[in-house]
Amino acid sequence: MLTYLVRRVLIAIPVLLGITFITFALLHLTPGDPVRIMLATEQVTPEVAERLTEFYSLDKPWYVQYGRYLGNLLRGDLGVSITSRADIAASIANRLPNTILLAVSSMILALLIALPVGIISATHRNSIADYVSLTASMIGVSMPSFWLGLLLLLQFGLAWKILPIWGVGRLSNGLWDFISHLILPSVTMGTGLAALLARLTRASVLEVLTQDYIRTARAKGLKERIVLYRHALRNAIIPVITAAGLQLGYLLGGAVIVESIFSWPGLGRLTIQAIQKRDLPVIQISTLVFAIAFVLVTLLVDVLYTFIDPRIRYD
Amino acid sequence: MLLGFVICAIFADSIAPHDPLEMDLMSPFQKPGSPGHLLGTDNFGRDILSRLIYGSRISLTVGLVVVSIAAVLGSTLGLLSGYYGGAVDILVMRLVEVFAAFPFLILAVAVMAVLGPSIYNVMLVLGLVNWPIYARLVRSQVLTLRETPFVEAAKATGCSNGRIMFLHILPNCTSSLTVTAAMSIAGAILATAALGFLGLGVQPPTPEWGMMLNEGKDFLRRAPHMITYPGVAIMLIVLSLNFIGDGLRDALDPHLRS
Amino acid sequence: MKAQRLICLFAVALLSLALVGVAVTGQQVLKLAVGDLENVDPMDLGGRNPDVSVASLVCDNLVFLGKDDFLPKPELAVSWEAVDDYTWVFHLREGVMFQDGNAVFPEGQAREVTADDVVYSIGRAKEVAVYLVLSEIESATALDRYTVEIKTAQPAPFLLDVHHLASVMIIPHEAVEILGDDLKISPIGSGPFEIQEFVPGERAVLTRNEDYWLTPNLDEVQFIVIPDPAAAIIALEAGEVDIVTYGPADEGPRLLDLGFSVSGRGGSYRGVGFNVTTPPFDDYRVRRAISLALDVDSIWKAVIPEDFGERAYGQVPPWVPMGYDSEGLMDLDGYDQAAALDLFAQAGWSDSDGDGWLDKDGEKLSFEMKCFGGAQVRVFTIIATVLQQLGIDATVLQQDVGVWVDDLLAGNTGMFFDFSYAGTTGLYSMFHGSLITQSNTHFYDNPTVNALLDEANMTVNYAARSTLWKAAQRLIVKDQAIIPLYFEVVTTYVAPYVKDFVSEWGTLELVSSENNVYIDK
Repeated sequence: MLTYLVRRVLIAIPVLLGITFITFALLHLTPGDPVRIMLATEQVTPEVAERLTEFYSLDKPWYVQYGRYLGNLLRGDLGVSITSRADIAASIANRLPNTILLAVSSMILALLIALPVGIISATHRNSIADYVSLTASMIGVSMPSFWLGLLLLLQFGLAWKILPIWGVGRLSNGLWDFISHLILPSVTMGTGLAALLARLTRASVLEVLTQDYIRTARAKGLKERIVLYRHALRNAIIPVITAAGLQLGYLLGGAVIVESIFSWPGLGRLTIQAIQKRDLPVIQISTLVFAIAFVLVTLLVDVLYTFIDPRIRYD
Repeated sequence: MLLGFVICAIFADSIAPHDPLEMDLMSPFQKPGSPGHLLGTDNFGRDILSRLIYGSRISLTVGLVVVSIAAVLGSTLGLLSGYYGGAVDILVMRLVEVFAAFPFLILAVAVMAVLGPSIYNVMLVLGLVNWPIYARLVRSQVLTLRETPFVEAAKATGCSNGRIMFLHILPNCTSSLTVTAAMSIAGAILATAALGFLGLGVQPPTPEWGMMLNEGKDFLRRAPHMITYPGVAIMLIVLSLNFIGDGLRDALDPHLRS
Repeated sequence: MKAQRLICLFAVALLSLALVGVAVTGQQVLKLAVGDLENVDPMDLGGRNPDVSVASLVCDNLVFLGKDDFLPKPELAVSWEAVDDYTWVFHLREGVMFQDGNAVFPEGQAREVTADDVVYSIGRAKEVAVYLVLSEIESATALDRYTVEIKTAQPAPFLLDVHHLASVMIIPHEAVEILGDDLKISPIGSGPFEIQEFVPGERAVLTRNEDYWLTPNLDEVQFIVIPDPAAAIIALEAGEVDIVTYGPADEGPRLLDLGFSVSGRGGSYRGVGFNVTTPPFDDYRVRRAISLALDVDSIWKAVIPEDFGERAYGQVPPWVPMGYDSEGLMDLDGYDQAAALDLFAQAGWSDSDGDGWLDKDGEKLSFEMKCFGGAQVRVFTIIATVLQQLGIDATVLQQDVGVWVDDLLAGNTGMFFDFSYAGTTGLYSMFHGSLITQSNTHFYDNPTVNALLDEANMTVNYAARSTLWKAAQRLIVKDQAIIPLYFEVVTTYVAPYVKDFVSEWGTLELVSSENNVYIDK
């Protein structure tokens, strides 16, 4: 196991390098230049535009820029944004904890809903409960998050005034302040996830329940409850964890719509704005952070497999 | 129900009460049930029902094509990765990481900029972005299945690897695949809305459901019906595909069949 | 440095405790929702309005632009005169102190703002600022403690305009030396409010500068980042913010009914732009025919509520103190679809094969109209629909901003959505022949226009300059390099209990010789 972990971490390095390299190459293939965008949207004067282009070496070939980027990265210098000159290390440090908080709480919420609902609708297949959960999932997965988010804001923030409308709560203002700010964004982000995971749980449990070894267990006269929890769930959970892990990885990249609606200062909005403005240094760093988070989550899921199902080996 | 949508899509010209592009700037935001406009009109006075009917063509295509690209590519790679393990597994899974961790918007911008913004490129981008989940799902199940007695039995009887993978293992993964695929249709249509918002999607005034959601966003409070009906349409599509998925699984899954 | 920060934090904590204490007795707090907060280095504000607003409360400028006439009014400078066409002299207010109780000046140890600070600030702005036009300033010299002389390379009529000298914030050189990178989050100046907290992307809290030369009514000003306009409006209605600075115009009529007021000053020009060198738009008749085919009045009113915009007949908007000329340009406007088709026919485009589309030499008249988002898409959606009904295959092409800009500057775009904050020098940067591939995206190069603009740029006399500007504008519109559509007013929604609020124009003034914002609940 240990050698496997070490190997995975070592392999992660070329993966990360690959991602930054592809990002860089693709951005240079794509039309759009940060200074020209600022010029055309009247954020910089023509005379300064030239100066900025030179200063950020935007006139140099892309491999020179990429080399310079890697060099700075190794020295621990993350640089400043081209469009706002804000410090990138500080921006990321401010936003990363918020992003992790929201991603993890949405995922926990989604799993808390999805697992029981999925199991119940599998064990009570074609019952009323099953149909209700099916309908709810369909609604959950078809609702655009900006729609759900604004509806929640209107109801809980404006009409009932029981939950805050904007921002991140601070523990220094008390536990309720911290949690209350988290509720609406987590629900908005967790709904679609919960829907997907609930359906996946139902399908996996159903499938496992018909497998030979479950029948054997039943035939041996084990109680249904024990069959379900000790044997069936263990196997059924694997696809659910896989999907949840992947989704958590995506969430760690930030969720621009939820972040905007709930004024949640996370990585998603930072990244998208940077991409639109072609703010290369910001894009590079946020991509790297996202990739690292993703690689770590995948590794975690792969390790989890071996705990859930000891038959899984990686050697 | 899906049949209903397909019929709508094919015979849009004769079913739709109005031209989906016809504007009436004098009567925007007509409420649902107004004379001549069953589902009301949008901010340009266009008939929402007609736009939904015409939109089913594009949205159905987008949803199905995106999911097909992603599911076929993803499950094949996932199958190979899980079955062979070792170097193949490492290679494929790193590819998954590169694709999944890569900011999809950059890919979208690049593809649209180089190939031009069109509905085909939207499908291409979304297909390329969505395959990792299928690969991971199939792989995770193959990891378990390849150790089961029936696979070993198949090996012992001299079945080829390809035969084992596609005939013995894949059918056992179908349930999670079909569920994910059905749900992803909604995801794909919603993603066209997100892309459209950034100027990377279907071009206006084309009637397309994601686009309609997008246009409705600004009028969420004044004319909620602009966003509700496309939302309901997406839901109905996913619902019907889900039933089909269930049926498909029942047919494919060797255990459920018996 | 660390210790200093801790002390600051401690002071802030104490202060906030103290403020909580008086909250009961009518604490005057103003909360503004803004789109983002990034970097408030007073000289490096780019075109980022929220950052400009924060910095302009912290720092004073020489002048501010009047709330009704947009003309310069005394702020740090009490008076000024143009000695000759090349020389300006500014007389500073005496006894103005920089803010104290911060990392730069400990409590009670601040110093007076002098002519040297003005000279220093102009110098640093010329070095650092990316958005200000200061190249016209040749030198700035302190004549004595309270007098600054500015020499310009050529007559500079726009010197005291927004984005020119009027936007230079005055800071002490110690701030740059001591704060270093912290200048981006905790600048100091001599303005009416001091920064207590600045979290990029999240919020800024400013409190009253007790030593300011006017007495601000407000005790505290908070800037709150709410990026989604719909969410910002909800926060406004819930009473969690008092002002939304970038409200969507769509919400206007409803909010007015609810008792909120709209305070819009300035805004931007919106229209159709042509690259006059790209076929088929290199033919004047095609441009003119498109203009004739459009019922501009009904188009713009379908896109924004009537009270939130004004029909444009030229590029210069009413809030720019020279060149606005709706009356003079109105005769160039017209809506006549039959005449439009005639003109298309004269240009060779007619439906010769009867397929419903205009064509010439077997080729269909088809083109893309490029834009990148928001109301632009709505405008072009209408125009595309209208033109298609006339048999012109016009399609909307919504692009990523970066691609849009590249296409435009490279000359790959024929017809595009044209916009400009429409400041004073807009006409020059958008249409002067020397700026093709930079900011002249119309590729318009008319020697007469160039000459008129060049002359206006050197004419200090207001009336004479306005005449030149109008003449140039008339030629541009007559050539139909643009189809002016409307001026969109910046919509700032203000809660009914906020009094005396004036929206930003270049800088945000909450306390000035013309206004002093207060809360009356």
